[in-house]
Amino acid sequence: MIRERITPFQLGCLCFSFLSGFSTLYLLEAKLLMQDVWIANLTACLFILMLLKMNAYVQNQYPHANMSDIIDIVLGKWLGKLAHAFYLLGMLGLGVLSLRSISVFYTSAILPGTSPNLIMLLVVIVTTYAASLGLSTIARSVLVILPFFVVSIVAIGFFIYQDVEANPFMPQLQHPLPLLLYGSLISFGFPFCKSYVMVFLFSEVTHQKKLFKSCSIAVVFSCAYLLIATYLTIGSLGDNMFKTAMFPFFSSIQLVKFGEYIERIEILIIAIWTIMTMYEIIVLQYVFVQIAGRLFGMKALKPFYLPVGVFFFAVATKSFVNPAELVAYDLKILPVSVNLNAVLVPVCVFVLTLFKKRGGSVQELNHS
Amino acid sequence: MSRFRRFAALGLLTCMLVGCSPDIREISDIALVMLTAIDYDEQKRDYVFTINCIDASTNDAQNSAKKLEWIASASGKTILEAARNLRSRAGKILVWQHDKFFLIGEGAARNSLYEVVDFLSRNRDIRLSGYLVVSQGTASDLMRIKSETGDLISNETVGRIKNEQLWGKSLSLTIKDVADYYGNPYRGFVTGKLSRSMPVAGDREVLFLSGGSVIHQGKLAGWLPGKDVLAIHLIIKKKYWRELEFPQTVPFRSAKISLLMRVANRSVRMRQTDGQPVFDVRIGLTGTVLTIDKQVNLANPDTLRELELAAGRFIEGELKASLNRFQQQLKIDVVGFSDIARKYHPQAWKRMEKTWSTAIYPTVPVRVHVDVSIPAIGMSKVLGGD
Repeated sequence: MIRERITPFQLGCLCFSFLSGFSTLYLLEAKLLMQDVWIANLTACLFILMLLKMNAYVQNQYPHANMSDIIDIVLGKWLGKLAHAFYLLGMLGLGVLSLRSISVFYTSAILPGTSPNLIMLLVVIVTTYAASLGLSTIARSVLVILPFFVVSIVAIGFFIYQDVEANPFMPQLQHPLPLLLYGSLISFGFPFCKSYVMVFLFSEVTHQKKLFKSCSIAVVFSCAYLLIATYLTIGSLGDNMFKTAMFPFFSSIQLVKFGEYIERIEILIIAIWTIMTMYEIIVLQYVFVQIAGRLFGMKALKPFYLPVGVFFFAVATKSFVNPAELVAYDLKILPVSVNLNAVLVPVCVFVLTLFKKRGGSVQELNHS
Repeated sequence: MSRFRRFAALGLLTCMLVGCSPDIREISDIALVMLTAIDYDEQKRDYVFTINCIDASTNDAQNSAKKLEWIASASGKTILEAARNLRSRAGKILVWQHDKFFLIGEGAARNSLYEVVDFLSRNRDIRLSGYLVVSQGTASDLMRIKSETGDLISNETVGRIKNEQLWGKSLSLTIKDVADYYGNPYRGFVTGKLSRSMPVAGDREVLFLSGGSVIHQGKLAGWLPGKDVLAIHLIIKKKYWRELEFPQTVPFRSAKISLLMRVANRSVRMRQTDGQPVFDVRIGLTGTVLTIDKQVNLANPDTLRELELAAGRFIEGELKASLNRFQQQLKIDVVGFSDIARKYHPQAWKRMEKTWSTAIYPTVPVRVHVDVSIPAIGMSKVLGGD
């Protein structure tokens, strides 16, 4: 199997695209906390940075091993397999969530007559092909797309800002602590916790010492993007309209117009949004195949991409058929369920690695 | 390379698949709805849905004479039913994506505005940047009045909304703002009012977009005259006063001087004096002298400064009178003082919240300060020389 390598910069760009794909689609935590949402976003961001630091530390202890192998080494064969099964389940859940979100958005806002399954099928065809091209191709293509995304969002943001009158993050600290914590959990569940998937790409990065730096910059930029989008959206739509809108950021982008007649700028954003969401699914499919391949001891992974794509599509057609279920999952299940993959396993692996390092077994293993 | 070519060819082929989408509408098959009117018959409990549409294939802004304008009404138990019942008469697929103007009949505005606002904000075809205006009387009747200029009535109506920025005595809110304010129990809002009237030296009634309609507690609460709407225009959101220019005639010495005013800046703040809220409204205006009915030498800096001060005091008086009417006669917070209190004084707002509409807002002191600067006095100094 040819090992593909990416640079830390490419990892950071991939991580940003992965986290920011459609992080601004629902803004659920903002609907809950309104002006205090920045606290939830920053808390979730800091927490994920801490977890990334732990993961980067663990990876640096085993520079030649993939995180899948590290989990097996640290947790043991059977516990490791169990952890991998949970990871696969979590990634499948995230992939299905992305597919359903994109289809719900398209059928609600743009293509009401088109079957959601058809939209998901088209997305899966593209993502399966892209995932099969390999990590370095995916990472290089992100570098092409990201500048368009940045320029479009900056331009749109500038025009939305014209309609922001009063500070939408006022009055501050008006929500009780339990609600702030719950909002932080929602924000952690989506989008920040998704960064645990990136950990499985750490071993493919050329400079292992820059893992944390590149990922943390990406997480901070994702957080900034989310905060800016929330600020602009609440500011331009107003509190009540923000809570009313199904896709608030999209609604605020729809208001951008040049003069009385040049409008529909949102078309550009929809295209870029879709591509970014696709990157999320591409990375998920790629990592899913890598872990599943290791779990089942497969040597050639190439033939595995198509069945995995079909599997993602098949599960997506049967999941979250009702958009309300999707929102309920984001609000009630994901913030809790994600902790197993994003917190519990990484913390266990980190603690055990610390113990093993003190016992000297890590160095022995690396030498062997 | 051959792999890339194969993929590129496949990509090109897939581009043709867009024609298979069930959401495709051929341009020759659609009619663009340009104006929509919604009425409500309280006795029958029916909605009447009226549209003004044009054939998309003849939509040429340069040649309105060739355009086919079709106005039709249908009724139904809900707005959607009424809108769908129109399809039995329409020869084309009706598309709302270019509709910028929604006229709500007085009956609908008084009795069933919730469903109207919900319909407009929920429907994906309708853009939140469209304007919502209330008609004095039945909206469908007003929609059928012929345009004054011979242009399409839709073009004329959108033109009237654009012209609001040039005189200020009418203010049409976007659907987004209406939907945002609608759910706020502490404040009301003012949007455009469309009425019919006989113009000066006219031979038939024409449409006027002038004054405002007051919406409070989810329904139409009354009408406002143009000068009160101008006060709201000056105080509410920046996007409404950013481009505003309005004429203001100021009595100065024994003369009357007309100025064309623009808003340079505006701030509305709340402060607390002895635990009581006080609102400060500060407006900076720049004016251009346009007409003087008697000889006044405005080239003299002292005279000009005197005029600036006189204009500021005069406009302050006008604004105070309007704000007093809102507070004491209308008793509706149409300016949005409650939003400022809630946002910037949350502790005080918690104390005021329950009695805001009944006790606090009608009596809260509002200080108005207007600064006028006149950087231009026009192309002449004094008629006939000084």
